[in-house]
Amino acid sequence: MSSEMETESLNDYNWDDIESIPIKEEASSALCRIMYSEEYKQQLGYLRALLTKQEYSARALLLTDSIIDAVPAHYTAWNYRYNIVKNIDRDLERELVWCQEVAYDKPKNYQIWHYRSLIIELVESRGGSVDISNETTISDDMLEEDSKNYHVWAYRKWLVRRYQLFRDNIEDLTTKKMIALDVRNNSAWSHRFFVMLGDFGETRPETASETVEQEIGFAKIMINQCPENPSAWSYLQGIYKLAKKDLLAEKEFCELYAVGAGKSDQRSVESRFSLPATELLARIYEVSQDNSKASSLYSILGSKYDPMRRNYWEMKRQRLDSANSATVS
Amino acid sequence: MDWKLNRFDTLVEMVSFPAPTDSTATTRLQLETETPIREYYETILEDGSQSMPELTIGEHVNFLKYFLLNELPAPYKAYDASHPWLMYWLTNGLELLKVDLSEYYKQISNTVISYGSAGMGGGMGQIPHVASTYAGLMTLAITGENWKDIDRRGTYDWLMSLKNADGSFKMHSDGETDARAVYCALCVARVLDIMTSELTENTVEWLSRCQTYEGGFGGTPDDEAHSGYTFCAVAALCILDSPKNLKSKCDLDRLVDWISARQLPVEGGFQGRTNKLVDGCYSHWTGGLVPLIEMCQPEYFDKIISREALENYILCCCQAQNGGLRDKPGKSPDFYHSNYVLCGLSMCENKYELRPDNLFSYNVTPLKEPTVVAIDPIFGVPNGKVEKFRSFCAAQKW
Ligand SMILES: [Zn+2]
Repeated sequence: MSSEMETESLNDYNWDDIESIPIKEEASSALCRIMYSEEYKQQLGYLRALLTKQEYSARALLLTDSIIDAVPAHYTAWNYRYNIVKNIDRDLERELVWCQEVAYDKPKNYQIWHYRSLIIELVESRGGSVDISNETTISDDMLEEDSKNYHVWAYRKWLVRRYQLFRDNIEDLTTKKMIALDVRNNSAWSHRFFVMLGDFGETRPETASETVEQEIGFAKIMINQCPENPSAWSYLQGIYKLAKKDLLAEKEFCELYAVGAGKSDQRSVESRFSLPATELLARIYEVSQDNSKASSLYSILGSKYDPMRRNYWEMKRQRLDSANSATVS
Repeated sequence: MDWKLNRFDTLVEMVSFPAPTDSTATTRLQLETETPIREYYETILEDGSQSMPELTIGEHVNFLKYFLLNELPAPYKAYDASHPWLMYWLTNGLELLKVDLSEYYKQISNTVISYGSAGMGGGMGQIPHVASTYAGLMTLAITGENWKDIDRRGTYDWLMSLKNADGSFKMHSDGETDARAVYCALCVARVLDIMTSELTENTVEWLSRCQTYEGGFGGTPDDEAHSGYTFCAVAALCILDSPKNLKSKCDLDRLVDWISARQLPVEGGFQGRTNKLVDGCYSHWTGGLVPLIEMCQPEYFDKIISREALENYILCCCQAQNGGLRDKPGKSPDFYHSNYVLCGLSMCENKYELRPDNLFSYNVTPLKEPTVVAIDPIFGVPNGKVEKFRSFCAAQKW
């Protein structure tokens, strides 16, 4: 329950005029009935009655707060709340504060983020504005709890898109910081890809190519830290594909970390086994028509390093014979 | 018993895969999950191939049937906006286990229809929701009852009211938009035979935009690749057009690489995102992508993942002692995981091929003596059910 609402209780309101519509399934032969508490049952009865009347009021608003507190996934209550807020003279800033408290209280609740975006749209449609840095702070706090929370990251992307925060300093630093904390945080990589390159093709060509070079460098530094990390390798490959650059440029870099490639034999191969490096190197060999090298990499992956997926590597090896004109991407 | 030996040999390879050596937070969590699983696999290996666990059908049936037929305890309040899902998970799970539920079909169907007839809500008195409607209609496809009570015109108008100009769908009025909503909306439209060009305009394009640089699909364009959304997006593409034509709608090679890389080498089960932990439900969300790809490109059959390794994870790690299936060892079983782990097992046991005469029928060949019923790889119910419901609808006016 949010602090604002704690001072208020449903009993502060008069409900005598409401004929509760109880969930009548007890009487019927319905399956999957849930043993509701009396309190919750009463709230549901009121909810249905108020929904039928389409009542938009302070007591209805408070009722949605109680139901959302009991069942965060109750999308009908969320939807009703949104309609109430739109229709009564609700202070939208207070509504955003309420949202924030619900979010901190129940971090796994994902309805909250969509709801929050609806309220922000409402604020702006009424000529108001929101403090974006506050939105950033809230999502930062949530990510500190759970650094891979899908819904929080999706909300963050919504902010970037809406407020055109591409290559924004804060987004840059946040993703860098989170990747530094855990270089395998794929959500942070995914967000960075969007922040840095999400408007690729819409920016000036100089900006685009500068960003591409910078991010290739960033990915490689992070690969050096943890060559086994698929997130960073995908990022690197993703940039090459987006910018339509030739991956051949990374052949030597891959050779540093790939098993079975000449140079990596000098390293302690067993401890630096990098599957993504090996896979990418094989593809580079493939495209540069170096089929025998590609073939031996696929063989060693299937026979030694990744036997569970031997059929997969074998399929790739056999494909070399049939098609050797595919493009690296 | 040949397959038992295969699974045993696969398990030998799984336990000998080296552990990651870096010390990130991700890797610490990974080791906390992976190490006990590896140790458990080692004890199984010591006992020899004849002791490989099998599906404890009776226990799972008891678990699911108990909850289908009894009132749910108070903590299930958390599912109060997911009643049709409860019905679908329990009914479908039991059907997959070959239980004859026909004596309950009427009761199940009456319950489901009480959630709405032109779009179903998450429970009585709740506003219609696309995912609830998917779950409710799939349940009715199983039972074969109350089909004529569905208001197809009303459902169509409601779906159209949720359509966004970019081709995607909202979950409900003012609700969120994502690939799950698109998948569920298309399943509903297909099974009710109300798919019009107006309903599907721009939808392929929107789904294609959800494919990320990693190869999987996100919930909306530019979100992180996630198996739940990838399954929804790819299955949706297979509803909009034959799986045969999947290649023209996405980067299939990157998608296949991404799916393949989700199988964890020690556990044998799947993760849902890069650098995340194994979870039994991804046996369906990731594993369920495999038959779709195999139908699209038959030469991929049994190449993308190891069915034996996934079966090892399902049978050794996902079965709770007293029945029900779960995310991973140490977690409690639930209906959701019970259903989707069984769906994943069904995928392991069968080979799917497109039938040239009908885009939405598949030839299913068991790869061995099946322990569960073959599922429809696109709709997630026993194979053949959706087509029956659809042809019933196609014969009606709307
Ligand atoms: Zn799960």
